[in-house]
Amino acid sequence: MIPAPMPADEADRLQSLRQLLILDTPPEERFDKIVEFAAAEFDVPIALLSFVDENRQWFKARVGLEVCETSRDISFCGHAVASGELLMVEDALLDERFADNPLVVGEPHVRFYAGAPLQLSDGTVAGTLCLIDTHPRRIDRIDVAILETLRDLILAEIQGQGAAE
Amino acid sequence: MNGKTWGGSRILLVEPDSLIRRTVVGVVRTLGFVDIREASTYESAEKLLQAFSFGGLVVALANNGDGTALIESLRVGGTRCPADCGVAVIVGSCDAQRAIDLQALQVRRIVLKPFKVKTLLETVAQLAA
Repeated sequence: MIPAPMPADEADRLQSLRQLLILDTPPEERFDKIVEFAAAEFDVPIALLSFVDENRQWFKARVGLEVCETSRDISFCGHAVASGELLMVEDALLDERFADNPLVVGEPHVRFYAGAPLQLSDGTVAGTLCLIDTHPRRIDRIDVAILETLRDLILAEIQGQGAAE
Repeated sequence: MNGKTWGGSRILLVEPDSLIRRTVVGVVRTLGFVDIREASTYESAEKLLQAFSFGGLVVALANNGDGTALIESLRVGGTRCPADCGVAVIVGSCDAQRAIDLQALQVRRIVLKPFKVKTLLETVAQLAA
């Protein structure tokens, strides 16, 4: 397993994340709705709105996972946050970064992961909207566009630009 | 705004559910295969149809039939759109009588809820073709 590298702007990133005042807050329907929509649209057992804190990833909204946080060093989202780009892992068992990851060899037995980074207006990446499946799979460019659009809706909510409807 | 025409490949999506509407519009604009406009209410859709010409209409109909008047208005030439322009509807349910009624309005496609965004994207692409 290869732990996610630290972003070069980690200190600024953590400051921006904390200024969102979202960590450890209760679930909110506006985020739950988007994550549930994503899980249904992609037919995945797990979908998460994940924020990557200093030593953990914490889930503001989640489908298919009981725990509300996991360690950062084993997180897939940490890799997406470090790269700042959409991370797609079609089969974790075939990827040296994740093949012996505890989340792959144990519960919840991640095989497929797609995470769209939540890049804030200051350029730092707070977390991801991600899809997880227990079977290998591929998604096409239209799926990517759907995932990134849902991610954009979350960013609009986080940064106070959500639709007032 | 009077006299402005967006052309045959422009589609109007009328969908009160903001998550569905904004997702479809966002994806269509990202992929750029058609010019899409959106309305969250039948009233705002009516204004757009009176002001602009569209090549196709996708409208979510309420269970009580609300929204049907938009299609009726379009078919009798009461909008700036061609009276024969392509129409697809989104419905929560559809019995035989409703299907007949929609057929009479020359509805090309009925999309039943719940549906995938991809299904609606295909519908938009077909109307724009």
